[in-house]
Amino acid sequence: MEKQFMTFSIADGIYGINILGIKEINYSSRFTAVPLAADHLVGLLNLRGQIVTILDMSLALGYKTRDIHDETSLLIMKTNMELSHVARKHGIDTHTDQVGFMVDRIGDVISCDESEIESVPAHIDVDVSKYLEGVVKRDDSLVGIINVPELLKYP
Amino acid sequence: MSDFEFEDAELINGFREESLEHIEVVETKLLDLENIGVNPEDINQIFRSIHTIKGGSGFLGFEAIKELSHYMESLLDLIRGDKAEMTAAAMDSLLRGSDLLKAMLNDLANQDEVPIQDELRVLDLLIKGKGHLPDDVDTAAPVVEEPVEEPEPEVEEAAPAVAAGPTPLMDLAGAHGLMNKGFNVYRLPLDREYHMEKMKKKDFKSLSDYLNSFGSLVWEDGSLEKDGAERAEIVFATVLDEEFAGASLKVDGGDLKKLDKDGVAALFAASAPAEPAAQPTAAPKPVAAKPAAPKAAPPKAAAKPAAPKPAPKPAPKPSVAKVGDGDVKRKKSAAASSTTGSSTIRVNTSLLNKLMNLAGELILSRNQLVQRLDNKDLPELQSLNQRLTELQESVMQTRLQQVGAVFNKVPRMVRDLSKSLGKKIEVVLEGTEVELDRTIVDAITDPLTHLVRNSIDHGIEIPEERIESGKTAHGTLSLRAYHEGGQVNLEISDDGKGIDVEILKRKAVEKGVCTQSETENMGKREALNIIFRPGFSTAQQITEISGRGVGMDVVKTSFEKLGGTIDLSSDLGQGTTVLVKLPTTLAIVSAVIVDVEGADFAIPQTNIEEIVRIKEHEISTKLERVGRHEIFRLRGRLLPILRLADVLKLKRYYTDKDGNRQPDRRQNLADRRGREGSVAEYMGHKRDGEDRRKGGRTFYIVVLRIGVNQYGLLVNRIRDVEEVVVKPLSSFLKDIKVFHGTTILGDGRVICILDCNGISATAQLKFDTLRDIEQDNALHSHAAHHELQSFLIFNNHPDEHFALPLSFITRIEKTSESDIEKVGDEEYIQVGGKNIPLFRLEKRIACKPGVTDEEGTLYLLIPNLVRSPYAIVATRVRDVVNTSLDVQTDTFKRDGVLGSTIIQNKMTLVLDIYGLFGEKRESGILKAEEKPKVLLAEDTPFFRTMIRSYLEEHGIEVIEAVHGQEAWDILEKTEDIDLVLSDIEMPILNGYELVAKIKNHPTYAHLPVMAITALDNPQSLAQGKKAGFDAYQIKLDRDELIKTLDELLAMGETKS
Repeated sequence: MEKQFMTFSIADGIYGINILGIKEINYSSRFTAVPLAADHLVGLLNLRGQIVTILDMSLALGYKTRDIHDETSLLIMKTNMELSHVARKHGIDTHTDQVGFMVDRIGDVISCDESEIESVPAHIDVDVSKYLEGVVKRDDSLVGIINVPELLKYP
Repeated sequence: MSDFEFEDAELINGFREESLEHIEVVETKLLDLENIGVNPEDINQIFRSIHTIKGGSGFLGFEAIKELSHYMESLLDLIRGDKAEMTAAAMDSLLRGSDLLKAMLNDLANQDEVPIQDELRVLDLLIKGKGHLPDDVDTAAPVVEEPVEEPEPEVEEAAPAVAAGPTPLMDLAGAHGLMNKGFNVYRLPLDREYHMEKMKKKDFKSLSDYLNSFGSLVWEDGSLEKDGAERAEIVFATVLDEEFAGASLKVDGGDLKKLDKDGVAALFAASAPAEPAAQPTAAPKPVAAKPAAPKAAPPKAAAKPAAPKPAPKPAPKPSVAKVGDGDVKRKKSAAASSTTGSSTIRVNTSLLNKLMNLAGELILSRNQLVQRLDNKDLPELQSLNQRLTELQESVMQTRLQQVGAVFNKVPRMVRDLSKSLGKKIEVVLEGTEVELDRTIVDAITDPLTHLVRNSIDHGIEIPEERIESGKTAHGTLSLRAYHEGGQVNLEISDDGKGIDVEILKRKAVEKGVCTQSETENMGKREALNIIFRPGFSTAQQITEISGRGVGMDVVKTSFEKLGGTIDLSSDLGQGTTVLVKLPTTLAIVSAVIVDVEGADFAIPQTNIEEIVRIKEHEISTKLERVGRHEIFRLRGRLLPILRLADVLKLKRYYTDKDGNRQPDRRQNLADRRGREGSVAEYMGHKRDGEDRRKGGRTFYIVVLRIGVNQYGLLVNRIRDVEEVVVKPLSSFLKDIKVFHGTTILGDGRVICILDCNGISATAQLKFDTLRDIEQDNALHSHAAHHELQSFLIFNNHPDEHFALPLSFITRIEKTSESDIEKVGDEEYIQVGGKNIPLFRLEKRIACKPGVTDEEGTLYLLIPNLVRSPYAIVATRVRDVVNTSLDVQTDTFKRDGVLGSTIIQNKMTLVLDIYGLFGEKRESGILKAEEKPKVLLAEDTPFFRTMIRSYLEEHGIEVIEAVHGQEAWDILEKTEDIDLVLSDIEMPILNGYELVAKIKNHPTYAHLPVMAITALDNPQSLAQGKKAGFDAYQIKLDRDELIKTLDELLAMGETKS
């Protein structure tokens, strides 16, 4: 079965998220920081009247927190309620709240067969690999496929 | 009221859903207890859940559920009071109990079919065994046990054994009397299967009790008391008309046959032989004609709680024909109600919520659109605005529900309860049309019911007691709802016996709710609010009605959860009033948007008492640190201040000259917090030149109220007041207690709404300790606001400010320099036909000579109490201030000047009028060796200073005390005190109490005690004499004071 992933980069790493779980990509930086919140909670964004919690996943994936720059993008996820039947059939799961991930740069959509997804290489720290469903090889680099529900449990 | 039945169905559904939720809580918590261990909070929670179920089932008449939950509750109560152990057996039993409850709740119609007797027995054994089961008991064997005493007053009444056969329960005259009073008399044939199920009654017997709760049973055919009777016929009287009577009885109106007087007479005539008018006057009042259930007589009733069900239950399932019959009837009544209710439809609330959200979002979109438009005055836009506003309001209205939905349940409840307690209570409902958000109406039902029950149970007395205390036999319970300040107030008041604050305090101490010293220092209002503390209840016994004091703390939290507040006031013997303030809606709140360090937050306006503006330079004088807290004196009260920036751990920013936000490098925030310095130190004194040029920033203190407590939140700016749509907090932020929710502002920004309770909890504000500090402070500082002095502030030279107690001055005359006449060095002026010598301050004390304005205006201050008629010259009378001065005597001590002080930020000399005129006491100064010792109890610093200076001048040694208690302590520790001089109005121990203490003590009884007071009236003089004071003088009259003092001292000497 073919799957499609939206790729993006955080620092020098490339990652992918199944497009069925993604609502849209947004470049706004008008979000409101929340005092006392966890470090990876960047802020709250007003997306057409819906409040989206923006999370910086770089901490979970073993990087330092990212500064906002020109190419910073937000991957806004669908909520559980918004997932299509197809997405549900594919076992896609997100969160009851509207969340968005802050990433350094948005890449291409890649397609791959399920069989192409390999298990996470052993040299990756288990603290990071638990957030990955597997890896896909593309153009000499590895694309880490994000396990979204798991990542949303961070920390 | 036409859809009475329907409402009831809704009520029952609500009860079922809520109770099932409670059961879930109980189960999880019980399992937690088993796995993690016993935790008092968990037990409390289980207890409350079961209690709620009991309350609801009792109200709705689900006897079996009530019974089981009562037993479970009793066991839990013992466990939470450490009077029983949470053993494995208890745990099992409770779990089984909750299973049974669940089963009953899931099939409420047949709730009494569920076999609970075994479990009741086990629970009973556990209750008796303090959580342990007797070893020899096999839990499965049926053992007949006495049921736990349940106080049910109606059961206590003994009734004559009822003979079979038609039974008139009152005489004909009685029945006719009722009819004359407007009662309707109905004849109702009853069918056991059909009606018992419909009325949710176990048997005919409980039905008769029920009938008596809203009418009077007049006659029955004798089947009511018979076991297993299939049919019965009753005649009862009620004020209700056919429709309502039918609805109340849950029978169709058509079943009721209305009887006229002849019909009633015929009825009595027919049954006369069976019961020859034996008790013609036995039942003069319909209320008393209750066929009470004798506890022992009919075996079924007595064995109810413990014994297994009567074995042969005839035909457990209704026959097919009857079901059909019943169905037809039900359909008929449903059709009837639908015709009357055709103008309304029932809509799922989630749909309404969605509409609400959409409307809110539409408004946000509009706001965002407007911001992008250049021409903001387009007519289309205005039209859009108007429509949107209307839309929003209409959608809002769909969520609103009248308070009547809750209020109207009250009369019925009161009727039931008052009967069972033998009280007569009239219910007054006011403002039932006031509307509240549906969710709020739903949520207040329980706490409000609880308050009403409290009023009936503890508040209103029984008729005899009321008549004895000169009240009407009928008590009044009134529920009022009204709008006030954008909120809805609910007032529940009774004219009952009120709350005895002293008993309440004592109980609070006994129960360990608060400490002895805490209660001693409590004001009345504060003491009354002890009721809301967890673990407190004034109920002497456990009654079914008000329970075991689960209530008031839960009641309080229920209202607070809705963003409301609760306050209680009570006058002993007069009644009690509970005032609840609630927001009208939860979805849209009016909020004040505040800015702190460049970040905006919303504070719900319902929490805000007031907003105080404070200038940066004022911070140094107005904010101080007491213990861990920073406090602000707000009209004499100590207001703990939290800096929002610190609560939220925000970095401090400032805006540089290019308008960019820069991190504040002036000082590290952590350093600031760690230091003991005041706010002023970093906000006021350490500001840099830039700020100074701007003339100092302004800060705001948002005064918030939570319950009886208040605190202030220091913020940088108040931006706006906006109606905001409350959106739930992201689940990623749930742990942050300082936020209540989020919202989107008109400009599209997301901001957080602050939770005022959460903030004070997070900052660990300790209001109790603060109160202690406040008390302390009130004593030892000049915050003793209850005895303020009025001072006249005036100038002679514009640079120098003088103050004189206003009470020293009889009047002020305005005159002019030109009116002065000179005789030698002396200046005179004519006032009221008299020549009065002028007194110029510069001639007496070292000060600058007076400078008048161009017209040469002068003011003459004419003093009283002094022998010489001088007029003090002032060039300008500035103000009269009410203050309690702390006069510094050491800096400016000289003749005519009592000392210096700061009034309105200006150094001011307080004048001593006696010294000014050089009036030494004529009797001369006492000699050093005979220096008498006088104990001076006076809480006002100014008077303390002044009187001390008089006395010392007179050669008396003065020991000061700031209140009565301190004076007493000093008295006990110090020898040879010759006289006590005491103020009347003092904190802790006032003058009257002090003198009583002194005069009743064998060692000090002889000691002369003199009262000094600011008041000069014959009444207080008499009262002072009565209290035991040897003399009574006015503080300001030095001469009289000293004269009396000398006399008393002389008397004391001759005595000893």
